Amino acid sequence: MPVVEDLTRFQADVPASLALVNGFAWNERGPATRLARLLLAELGVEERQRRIFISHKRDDGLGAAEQIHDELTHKGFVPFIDRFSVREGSDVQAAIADALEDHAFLLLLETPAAHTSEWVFDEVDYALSHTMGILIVQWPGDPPPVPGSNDLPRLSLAAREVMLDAHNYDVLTAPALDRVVARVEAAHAQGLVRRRRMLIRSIEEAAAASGATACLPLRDWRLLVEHGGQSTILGITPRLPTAEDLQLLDAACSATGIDPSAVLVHSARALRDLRATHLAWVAGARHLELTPENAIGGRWT
Amino acid sequence: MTLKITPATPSDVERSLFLSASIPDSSRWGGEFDALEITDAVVSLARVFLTAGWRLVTAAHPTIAPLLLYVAAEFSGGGSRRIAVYQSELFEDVLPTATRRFEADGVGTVVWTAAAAGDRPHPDEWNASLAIMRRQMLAETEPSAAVFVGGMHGISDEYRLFAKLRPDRPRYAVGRPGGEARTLVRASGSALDEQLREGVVYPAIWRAVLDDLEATS
Repeated sequence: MPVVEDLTRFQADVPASLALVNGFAWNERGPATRLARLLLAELGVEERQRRIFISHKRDDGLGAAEQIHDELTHKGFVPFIDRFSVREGSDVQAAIADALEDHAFLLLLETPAAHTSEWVFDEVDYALSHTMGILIVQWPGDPPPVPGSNDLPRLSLAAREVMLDAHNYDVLTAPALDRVVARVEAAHAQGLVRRRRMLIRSIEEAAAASGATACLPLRDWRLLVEHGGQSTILGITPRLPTAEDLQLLDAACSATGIDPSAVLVHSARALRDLRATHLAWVAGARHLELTPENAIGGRWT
Repeated sequence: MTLKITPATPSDVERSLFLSASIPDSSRWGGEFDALEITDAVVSLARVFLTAGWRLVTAAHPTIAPLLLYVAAEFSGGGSRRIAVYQSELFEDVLPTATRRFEADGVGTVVWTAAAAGDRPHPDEWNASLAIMRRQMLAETEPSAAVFVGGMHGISDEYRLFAKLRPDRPRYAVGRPGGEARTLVRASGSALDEQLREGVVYPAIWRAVLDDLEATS
């Protein structure tokens, strides 16, 4: 990755062989941190798309939610603001899960009215029950905690860190915004490692318990497992499995040169028929299987 | 031929596991703990044991009990017997209102126990009510084993009570999430005890505990 001080002089400063490669500008705010994150993403240690679900109560949290959304986007995250509208009688838990399953991190804005939201409790419990990363930003004045979140770690804002914008919504001051985003950066990375570590090591131990003769760690959180005389590459995804996940897994198999089969372990609550059919079509005749995390301790054949 | 991983078939034998877990209140307990490690351990336990067909029994805790009910809602079959949450009438508002939905949906059961006369819902003024709740919970559900995660001094109280009422039943405590449970981890030197003390892969820990229970049943 070419690193230059001034992108306008890129062609002049880098060797011709790197002229077509995207360069990195060592300027603006926090260049070292931004470069480190890019390198970690390229190496497969950090996610290329850092998806964050921003949970808030519209009445008093919308301004800050949109402010944080914009800042996270600028920092290379892919944030999402929940705007639920579920018909009466619909399955609340399923609606929450459908939205959250594609994200690995929940950012909760604990404003004074947040505890009254009919969604926030489910969002917090979904995040915890799927070992998603979670960060709760607590408003000044000791607001009532969101149900089910007692004793969880929080970033507490001081009164001087919150102000009103032109529309009379609470927003954060610039230093407070920097503080929140820095904590999100750290919590997201820690949460992701925690989630993937648990999953990959659970698979390793289950493989050993089931009689695997070898279990070799590969890059991008994969394992090469020798079991029952056959070789299998196991990949993991902490979110809903996608066609890209299967393609990358298939490419990893091809790269080994030994034609192993492959299993993608996912943590989705349940795969909707439409997605399951789509992924089966993507897998086609290749030796690619999808397995839910809950099955890992079962029978390996 | 592609490797296939098939979920274990739930046991036909109905057994209950008592889970004593909570996130310490740092204003009342000065020891080390990690709140998210505690919830990770609890969630993993719920998934492993519910997958195996066990029933979970626990006292109400404002974060832990809703989490168990939420996980249990993802499993089909078993109905309201999957989770039993015991709560003293002294703490009417401990459980979030939203968890009542799970009981209405048949996911779990909330069992209310009588409050002791003179008790108040404040630290050190609730001991008699908690004692009533704990004895009723263990007597009614007859758990086959007990697991201890995180917690403060109440965890030790429940450990001793379980040992007294169910002396021939195994007790397992995990160390890594911290809390009072760390002091309860056995020091037998066995491989399982070492895993309970230092292990961080909670699904694997609970699978090992499940294997231990199957082997000794």
